[in-house]
Amino acid sequence: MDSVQIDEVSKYYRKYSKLKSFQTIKSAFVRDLWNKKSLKNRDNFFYALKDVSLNIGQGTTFGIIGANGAGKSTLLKIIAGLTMPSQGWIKTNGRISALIELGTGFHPEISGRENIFVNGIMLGLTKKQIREKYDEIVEFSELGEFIDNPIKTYSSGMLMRLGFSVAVNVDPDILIIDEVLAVGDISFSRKCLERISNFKARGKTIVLVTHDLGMVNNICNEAILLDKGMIIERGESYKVVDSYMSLVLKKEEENIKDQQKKLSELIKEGEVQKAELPSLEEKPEAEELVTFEPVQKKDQINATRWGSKEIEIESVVFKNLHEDERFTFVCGEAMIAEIRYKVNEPVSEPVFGVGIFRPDGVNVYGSNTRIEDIWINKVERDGILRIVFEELTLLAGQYYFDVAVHSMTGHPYDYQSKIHTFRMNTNFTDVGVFRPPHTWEFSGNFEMNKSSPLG
Amino acid sequence: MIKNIKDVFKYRTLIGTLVERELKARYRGSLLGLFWSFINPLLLVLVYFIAFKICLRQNMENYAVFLFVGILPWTWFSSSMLEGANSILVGGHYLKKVLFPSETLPIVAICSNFVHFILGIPILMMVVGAAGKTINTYHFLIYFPIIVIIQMLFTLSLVILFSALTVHFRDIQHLLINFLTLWFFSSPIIYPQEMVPEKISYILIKFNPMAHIVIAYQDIFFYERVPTLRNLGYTAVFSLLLFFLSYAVYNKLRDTFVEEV
Repeated sequence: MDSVQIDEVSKYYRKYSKLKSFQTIKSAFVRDLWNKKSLKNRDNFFYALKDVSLNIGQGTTFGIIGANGAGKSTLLKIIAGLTMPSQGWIKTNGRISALIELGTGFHPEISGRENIFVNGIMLGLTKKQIREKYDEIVEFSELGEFIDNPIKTYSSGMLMRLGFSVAVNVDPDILIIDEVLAVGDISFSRKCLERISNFKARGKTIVLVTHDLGMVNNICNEAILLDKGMIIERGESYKVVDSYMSLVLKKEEENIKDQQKKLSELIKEGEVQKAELPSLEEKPEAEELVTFEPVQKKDQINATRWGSKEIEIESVVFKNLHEDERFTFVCGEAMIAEIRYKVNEPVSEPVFGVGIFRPDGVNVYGSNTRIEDIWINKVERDGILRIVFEELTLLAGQYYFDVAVHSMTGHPYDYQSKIHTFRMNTNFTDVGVFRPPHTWEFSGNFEMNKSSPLG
Repeated sequence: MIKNIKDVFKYRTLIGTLVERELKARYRGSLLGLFWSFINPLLLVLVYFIAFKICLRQNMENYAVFLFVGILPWTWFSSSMLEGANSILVGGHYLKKVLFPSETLPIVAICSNFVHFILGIPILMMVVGAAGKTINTYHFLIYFPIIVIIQMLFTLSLVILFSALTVHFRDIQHLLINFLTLWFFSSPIIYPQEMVPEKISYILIKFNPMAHIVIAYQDIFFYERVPTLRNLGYTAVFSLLLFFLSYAVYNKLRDTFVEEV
């Protein structure tokens, strides 16, 4: 039997500007004037959920994932009965408890002991049940001697533990959890997970909203992926998690693309520029030329560009081995940086250089043609320079790709810093800056279970 | 409607617990604690006594006792109204998190103030006794519960109506404070009903349910006489009708609470 049946459920809200305008009596009277028109106009509504149909079988642990604003919590609230669908219907079988928030009903002035009762009863426990489980609740919360102090004296961790300790004692047929498990230290959250497994083992239904994809993988049998109020995938949890990951990557890629587009427009318009360049006579030390204060630009991007423009770098494009333009790369993949330059005035012996920086300023890598022992005699015509990284083993995160072309003595023709970015993703959770290719070898004879890193 | 009322009844433990929390939280940390339930109305009586007996030379006998008899139930009524009208706005975030009937919130406001009222009754009796008056035990046992029930019903009707409307029209909270002050001075609480001019007593007394309720309390605690049952009957019927009307409005609006608070 299904614990939850949802049929063609939609939930929409009137857009807030309209909503706000009838919070005063005056506008309530004038409301009818535009009301009829606006009700017909679909643009005046925001759809949090759109034609969602879903069955959740009894005993299933069901995950709901998706980006912020995808409609996860709305769906959860509809299942919990906290809000009504605007269209469609929903049926649930069995007693429901919703853990949408920890410590609902907590009052700061009264003691932990008294709050256990208030919170427990709000969650649907009876006084008798709470009294029976009281010692267990206190022990689980690890609050001990503090239990009789007013909870305004508690730390936020203590409050969460107290809230969770009451919550794990609810015993409904359907348990609804909204992102409340990420509480406390590691040992406490492990205890919480144990409780959930226990609940699962007794054949109860769990509906879970979380951003912790590992948890979805670990404890859910089934999951759905929501995007813009619609179910875009449903199935075994690990498959849905995979689709979500690729959706996220796609979005990130688009974001970086947009950002790059904006920046390259700025470059064209000459907005990103270094202030007046001091003449070489004043600063004979070539090294110092690149230590100017960066100019803060719009959107709080530290993008800087300076140079005398004999050679201009027009664009930097990142590609994979198939020559597809990309902004995100997976650790270990090849990356080709394609630098297109324009010659305004022929110069001899220019040096091209690149640098990879982390947003926190760490210089991850840097090199130039001189270091690499490539000597360019003279550049007279526009051209393209390609740097092929056969295996880019940087760890996940965003990176800046600085490019520069300058004279042998260090006089900059064009220097672009923090303008070009790419992103690394990784299937591993190792830490550091980069992942040197490596293998693990053991001398002892023991069995090894090799599982996939996402397993 | 019946189903909704049954639903609320199922959640009586929750109401009880929330009332308890309200009472504990209100006086926690204050030195006199629950005694404030008694002290507050006494201080209010003192204020009006100074204003009307000493400054305006109201020459009524046992004026302080008279004031106390009226102010105690009025405080219950007006505090319930003010807290109750805001209750869904204030407690609304619970509605988004936990499943329970929203009526619980206005009911908790009325009940926690009722506790203060009931705790004030023994003090009232002591004050009455100290003034050399007696209370007819028979009148008290029969009529007092009846008056309380009528007042409870009348308050409930208004509170659920305003609690639902306030969610949509926040202006009500501001209007209500001033309206209650007007209502207080229009009711025979700080002056006996005989002092109301004939011409306007129609409006101030006859069509004022709170006037009938307050007068009934005065009858048993001050005048040592049987309350006018006909007036109480009218008030009861009116309250009942008002309740159905208010509850209909409430039920119409209840699904919008979660989104509007």
